[in-house]
Amino acid sequence: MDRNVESRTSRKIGSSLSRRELLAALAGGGLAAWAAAPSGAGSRATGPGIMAGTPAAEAADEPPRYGGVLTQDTFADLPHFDLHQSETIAALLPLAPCYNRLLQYDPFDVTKLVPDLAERWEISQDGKLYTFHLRRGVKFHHGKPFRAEDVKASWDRIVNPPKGVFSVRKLTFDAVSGIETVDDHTVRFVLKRPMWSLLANIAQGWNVIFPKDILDAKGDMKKDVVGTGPFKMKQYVRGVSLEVAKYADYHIKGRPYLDGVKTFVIPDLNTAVNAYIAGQLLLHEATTESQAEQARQQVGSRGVIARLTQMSALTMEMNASRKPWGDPRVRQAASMAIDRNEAVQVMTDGAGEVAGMMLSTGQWALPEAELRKLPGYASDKNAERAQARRLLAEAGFPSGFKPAMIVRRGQQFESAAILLKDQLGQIGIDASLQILETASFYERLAKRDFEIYGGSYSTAVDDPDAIFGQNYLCNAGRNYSGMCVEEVEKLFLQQSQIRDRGARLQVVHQLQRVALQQVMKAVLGFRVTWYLYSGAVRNYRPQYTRYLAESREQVWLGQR
Amino acid sequence: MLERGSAEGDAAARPGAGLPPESSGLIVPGVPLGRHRAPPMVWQFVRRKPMGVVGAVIVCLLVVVAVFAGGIAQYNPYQVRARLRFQPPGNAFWFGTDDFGRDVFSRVVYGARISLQIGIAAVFMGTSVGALVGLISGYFGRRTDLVIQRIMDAMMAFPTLVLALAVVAALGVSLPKVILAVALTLIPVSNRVVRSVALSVRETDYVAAARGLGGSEWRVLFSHVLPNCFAPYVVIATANLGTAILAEAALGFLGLGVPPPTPAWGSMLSGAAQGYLYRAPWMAMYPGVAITLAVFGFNMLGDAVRDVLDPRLRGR
Amino acid sequence: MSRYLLRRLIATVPVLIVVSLIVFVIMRVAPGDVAQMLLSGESGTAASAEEVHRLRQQLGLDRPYHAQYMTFLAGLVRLDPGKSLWTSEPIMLELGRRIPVTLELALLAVAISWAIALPTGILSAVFQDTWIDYVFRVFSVAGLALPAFWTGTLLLLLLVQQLHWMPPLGYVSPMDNPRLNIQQFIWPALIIGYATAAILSRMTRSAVLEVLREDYVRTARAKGLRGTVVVGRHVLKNALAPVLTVSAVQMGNLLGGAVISETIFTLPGVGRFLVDAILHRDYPVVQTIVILFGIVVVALNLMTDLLYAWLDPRTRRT
Repeated sequence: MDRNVESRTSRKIGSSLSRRELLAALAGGGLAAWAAAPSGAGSRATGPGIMAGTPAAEAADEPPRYGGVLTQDTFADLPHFDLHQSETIAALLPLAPCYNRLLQYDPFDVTKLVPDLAERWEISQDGKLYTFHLRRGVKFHHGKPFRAEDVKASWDRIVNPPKGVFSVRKLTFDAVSGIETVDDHTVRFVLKRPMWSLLANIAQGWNVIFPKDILDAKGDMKKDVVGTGPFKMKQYVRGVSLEVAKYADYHIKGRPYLDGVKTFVIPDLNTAVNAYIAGQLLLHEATTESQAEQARQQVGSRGVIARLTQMSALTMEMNASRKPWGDPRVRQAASMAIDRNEAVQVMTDGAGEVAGMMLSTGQWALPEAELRKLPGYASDKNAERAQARRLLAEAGFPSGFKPAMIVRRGQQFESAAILLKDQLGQIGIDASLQILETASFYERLAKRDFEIYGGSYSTAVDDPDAIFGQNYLCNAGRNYSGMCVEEVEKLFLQQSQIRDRGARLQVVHQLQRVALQQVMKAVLGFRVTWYLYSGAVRNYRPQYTRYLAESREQVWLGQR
Repeated sequence: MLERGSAEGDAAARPGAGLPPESSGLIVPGVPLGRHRAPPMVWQFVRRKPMGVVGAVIVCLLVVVAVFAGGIAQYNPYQVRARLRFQPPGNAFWFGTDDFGRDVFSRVVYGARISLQIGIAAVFMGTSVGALVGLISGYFGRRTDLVIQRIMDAMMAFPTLVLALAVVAALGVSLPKVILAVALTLIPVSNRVVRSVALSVRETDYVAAARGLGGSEWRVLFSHVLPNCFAPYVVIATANLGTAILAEAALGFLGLGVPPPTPAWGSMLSGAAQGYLYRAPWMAMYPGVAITLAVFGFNMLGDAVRDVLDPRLRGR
Repeated sequence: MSRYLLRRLIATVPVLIVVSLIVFVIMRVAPGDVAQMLLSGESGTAASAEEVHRLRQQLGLDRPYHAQYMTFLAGLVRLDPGKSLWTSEPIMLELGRRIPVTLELALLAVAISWAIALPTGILSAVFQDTWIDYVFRVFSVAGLALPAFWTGTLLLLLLVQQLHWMPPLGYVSPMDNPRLNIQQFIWPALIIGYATAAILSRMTRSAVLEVLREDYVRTARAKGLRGTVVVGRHVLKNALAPVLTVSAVQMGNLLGGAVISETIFTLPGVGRFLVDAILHRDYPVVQTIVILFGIVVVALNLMTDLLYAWLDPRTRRT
């Protein structure tokens, strides 16, 4: 399929396409994607695959209606309300409707950035100074007028958190040296070096603007939900639901359309899918095809099922500081042992995408021909496995060895472990599985006390800065292998500072090649998920990630 | 849900438990202690306890399947077949295949072996430790009894599921740990029952005489009191087997049972089976039926065994 | 009598202390750290050791164990166990919200189990060894043998598939909307109630059987009193005691059943609170709930023993 449609429609900074233009632009390539059902492992279909139900609601040209409450769910409760210190969708999904960011992703197409609290912006020639002009007439839910000082207070704590605040995404904004307020409605970001993905990362769903007065008074937003967003906090019942209601003084007149959004906590996945079928949830993200199938059969054309590749990669992590995983031959052999097609088949119901590090359907992915040359991706698995066995023998393990694999308790992780064990066994690596309950697992991980494990990583944005910055750099928080590869550091800094997309793409490709050759992680593929939503939900378009644009500002409810 | 089984629950809660000798269950006035009547003939058993026979048959079937799992199962239960996932039950795979393409029938068959292993090991450990504790506590009485019983009360005050959860969380998830966790939950009840027997036996003239004769306390304990506890022990043990199997299932459901890829009925019911309930209901159905059947069989057998060994109800 | 009561009450204190010690030790032994988990979130991003240490200090986890234990005990006595490590909210507050849920579930379940068990048990005993007996016995053992989580999930599936209806999400207090509340509670209560009824039914059966064999009953029958009268007057009275005992003992298992039902039917009860706390290593919450539960169980045991002591003075020796 033609990935390049999206790359041709280049990032339009400072403007946004209307829905019609967008549809027209995508129609050419989009229809082909929609029509071609992904035929199983290895295919590289793109675009939202509408599996069943009425076609995407925004295609119809009805006038929006006001009213109604959108019901959705998460699998767990959130420990607190402070999004800067949070990493879990269980916090973002219910709270996103209450906030705005400087910029945001277009909810209909997350390859596009559109204004949010910043109306327009300028970037200096050398790329080290960003000036944002802020909207006027915006008020926080508690009445305080929105001003540049709020942006500075919020971003200061993201980039340079005070003691006691753990800013999860601090490393991503390493290039930012400081934030200045020029006047009440102008803010400047000063950078140490150019970082061309800055805007893409600023727009991430987590980077919300908090009110300065509450930050000053309390130090954090763990117990308060006060933003400028289209909805304000209505009621929170721990372990049950979080409900937000329409904010009458929202700065965009006529929005939001909904009266409110209610997010339920449902830990049992059957209960969740049943709730959707029974009509108690209007929107649900299903993790297995079985659930999607159940919905399709019982809800039929009254609901939509969108099957999408997600920005969530399945991996096998190898701790390079433990023998024998420090030997690159061993790591390569292990990676070569895994049949990624089978892996994807089993772990994602035949609906995943074999890939390198970047989203398989995104603009940075290595072309397939290139991928095939790297360890683990060869087309002839048997030959590759034979080669793997030879590599192992060279490294001193002619008859294999028996490592320990730690596994986090949970169906998806245990499935991954079983599969990996089976595949590694094909070349003589006989892994023993140690199932650990979540808390114990994290402890081992934090102390780097493990040999291998089957994991996953996801980033909000399909951007090399984000993915490599969080997972592969030497001091990256999720660099579990502990490997520091000089070439990777060098290429990373290089691509981060290139403005021209074409040139940047070349460097990003090289970066992936190096990282995959060194097998810093064995990446298996990207997960697929099924978004189930009622035909009544309009102006909602599921994306490859839920971490970007979930404010529900533009959603409205119509007839089924 | 971890239930405290049937027969031993009855026995523990029966009016006799904890009450003085005269109304205790196993002392029949006029029948000398230490010498029970021999159990009735097998055919009498069959005739009078048809449910017990059903139970016995099921249990025998279970044992046979567990022992001869290798011969009965058609395939290797661990064999992953990525391209044959979710096959419905049919000629090739009698119970269908699961999310890894593994043969469900073979996994259920080998699961019998695991379940029985856990059941027997946990029951043996738990019931024996409990019985020993109860024996000592009941016989020596006074301060020993006081201290030990308070500890037992403390153990009983824990919800069984929570105790098992805490143990597994603390020690990790593996087959031996599961056995330990289940065994721990079985200790308090067998303690109670055996203690009441020991208490009542201690009060009889026979034992008083034996002690008066000057034998060491321990010798009296083991040669005179212990044999009387044999019957209740068997009753409790048989009933506990059902409980142990259910306990493993509950732990497996919470993801704290026998770790994959080992086939164990409880773990087979959780995780993937839940997620694919709609598409491949056979994944959850067969292990569920197996669990139900096994617990049913053990309970029926346990009932019959209790009826037989407990002279009070023998008039039926 | 009152001396007996006093002795028993005093005896419960060491039991509770032992319980609190056991749970304190087990939780501390378990690997895993709530501070780590709070900072790492679901993707396990490594927080720096310094940050983890600071959070631990904030939460009071770096103090020596005996100090932590003493603080906890002191808090219990004051009826203020402190704040949850995970949410920083007062534990009593959250418990206050959750106890009514689990209580309602438990009471409903017990009521249902009695409603099932008593009739089936009595009938089973009166018609012993007939087909009625067999049917009821199979029915009750099935309740024992069927795993509650299995039946719960299947029930939900059935409801949705056949009736296109599911118990409403969330929790509504019976004060606010009794109809909605019953809709939410009846299904999980049925599941738990059926499972508990199993044991109770068998207990009732054997208790009734025993009483039926007693001399005075046989005498009454020989004297010509009608069956139902005999059963009514003598049997029920005496069979009730063991039934009550078993019910009390089963409170322990109810919490286990509640945990699973609360998860499947999304009820915010104490069971789920406890399980989540164990998984998060939220020590104060785990300790508090286990102690609370211990108190309930001990109290129930005490009540049952008192019942026996009242019925039969000979027990007081033990």
